[in-house]
Amino acid sequence: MNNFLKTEKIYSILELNTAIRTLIKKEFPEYIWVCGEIQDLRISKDKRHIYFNLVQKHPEADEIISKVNAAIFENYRSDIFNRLKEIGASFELKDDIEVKLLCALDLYPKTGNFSLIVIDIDPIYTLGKVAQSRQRIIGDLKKEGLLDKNKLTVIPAVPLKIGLITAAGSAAYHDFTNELIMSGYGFIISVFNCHMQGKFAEKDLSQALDFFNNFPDSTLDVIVITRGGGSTADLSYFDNKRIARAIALSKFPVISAIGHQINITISDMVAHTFYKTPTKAAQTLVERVKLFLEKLEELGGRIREASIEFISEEKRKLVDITVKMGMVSSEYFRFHRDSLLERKYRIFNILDVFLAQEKEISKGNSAKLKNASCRIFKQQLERIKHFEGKVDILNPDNILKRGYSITLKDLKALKSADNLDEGDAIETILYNGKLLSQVTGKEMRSSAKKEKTGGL
Amino acid sequence: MSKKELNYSEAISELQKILEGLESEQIDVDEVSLKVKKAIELIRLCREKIEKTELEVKKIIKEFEKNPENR
Repeated sequence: MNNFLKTEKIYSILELNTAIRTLIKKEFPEYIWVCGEIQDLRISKDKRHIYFNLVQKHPEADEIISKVNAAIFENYRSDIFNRLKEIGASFELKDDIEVKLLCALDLYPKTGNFSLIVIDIDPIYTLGKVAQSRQRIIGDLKKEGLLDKNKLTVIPAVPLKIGLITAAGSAAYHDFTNELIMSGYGFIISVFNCHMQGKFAEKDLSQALDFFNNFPDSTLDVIVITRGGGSTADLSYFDNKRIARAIALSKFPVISAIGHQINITISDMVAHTFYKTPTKAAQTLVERVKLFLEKLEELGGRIREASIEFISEEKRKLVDITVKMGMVSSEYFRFHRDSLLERKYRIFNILDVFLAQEKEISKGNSAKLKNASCRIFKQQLERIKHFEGKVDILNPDNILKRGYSITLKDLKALKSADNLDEGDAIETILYNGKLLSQVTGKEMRSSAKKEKTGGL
Repeated sequence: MSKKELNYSEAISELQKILEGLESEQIDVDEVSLKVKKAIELIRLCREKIEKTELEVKKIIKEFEKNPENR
């Protein structure tokens, strides 16, 4: 075992760490460039130093394969930040960004941890990496069809119910809400208070978007994400894939107004609409409501005009009809008066003719009646005369007048001498007077015995 | 024979009956003269009726012919 020993010296921990530190210093006497992704970035309690891990990830899997502690001490911090500001970097030092750092290597004998002491940054490299990562996110979103997804949602004509995602109390918050309040329209604003930058931004924004997306459909019109104009570097928080996904998948239209001047963040790209400032976003909403009201007013005016036009047109028609009616009715009455007169004359004519006819007929009738009655009387008289004639013939006086007489025996007229005997008393009636006789003889006609009659 | 005056058709039928009776030859002489008397009376009655009625009818017709519209 001793064969393996380089030296008999027994190291204390401090001696060991110090020895290793010397080795490191010997190996890396100068500064070196190191590339890696920032993770777990934190600020010391006294806010003077920045600590983070610099990690190397597996090129395909999201898996850390190597890691080192890093620190930016107070004395370099402002230099580094100034350099970033100078070139107008659209990022700031934060988790998940890949950086190229100029570092010294050191080991703290007290802890045995070796660290990268950052003294400078290569902003161009980092910018490139940030741009690359940005492009990757955009590519992924495109692949998933999320870039235009929120644009398919529709901002209602009257967007009054607003889900506001911002830092409550910030200048952006006031700008936005004041603009809405000043409009005098009935906006209803629900606010979700968020960190709009820093390491809580991603989580807060995702939660906020989830929160509003749990609202029932009709209770929200639009989500507005807004913040004031910070440094351009702050905008890099909005090149976040998780936030972008949440915006894209929101069922409500998302308006982003995150206060930048030149670049468009990925959040802007996936949002329904984006504006530069909170004021502008608010004005647009107000304008939309105003436009709707104006359109309503205009439609109302058109309805009013149309109805007035309609009514006057109908009135005109009515007048026309009335005039026509008057004409037609006077025509009608004239016609009917004429025809009435004509009818009257015709009736009178008919009546005259009828009366004349009736006169004739009645004349004829009376003549007939006269004739008929004459005939009846004549007939009756004839009949009576006939009866008279008969009576005349039958009247015994008329027979007696001609010399005939009637002989009675015992008041019975004698028609034969048969039953007479001589000496019988008989009575003879003459036209004028009677004879009383006694039969003295009788004689029968032809075969009968002859009877002699002796007068008294 | 009732006191009531006979109407014309009754008179005529009475007359007819009397004539039939006279023509039957089975009749008493006294009865004959009564019957004849009666017949003559009836004839006169009928004649009167006829004449009176004829006069009335003629008068009515004459009036009617004067004013046919009044029918």
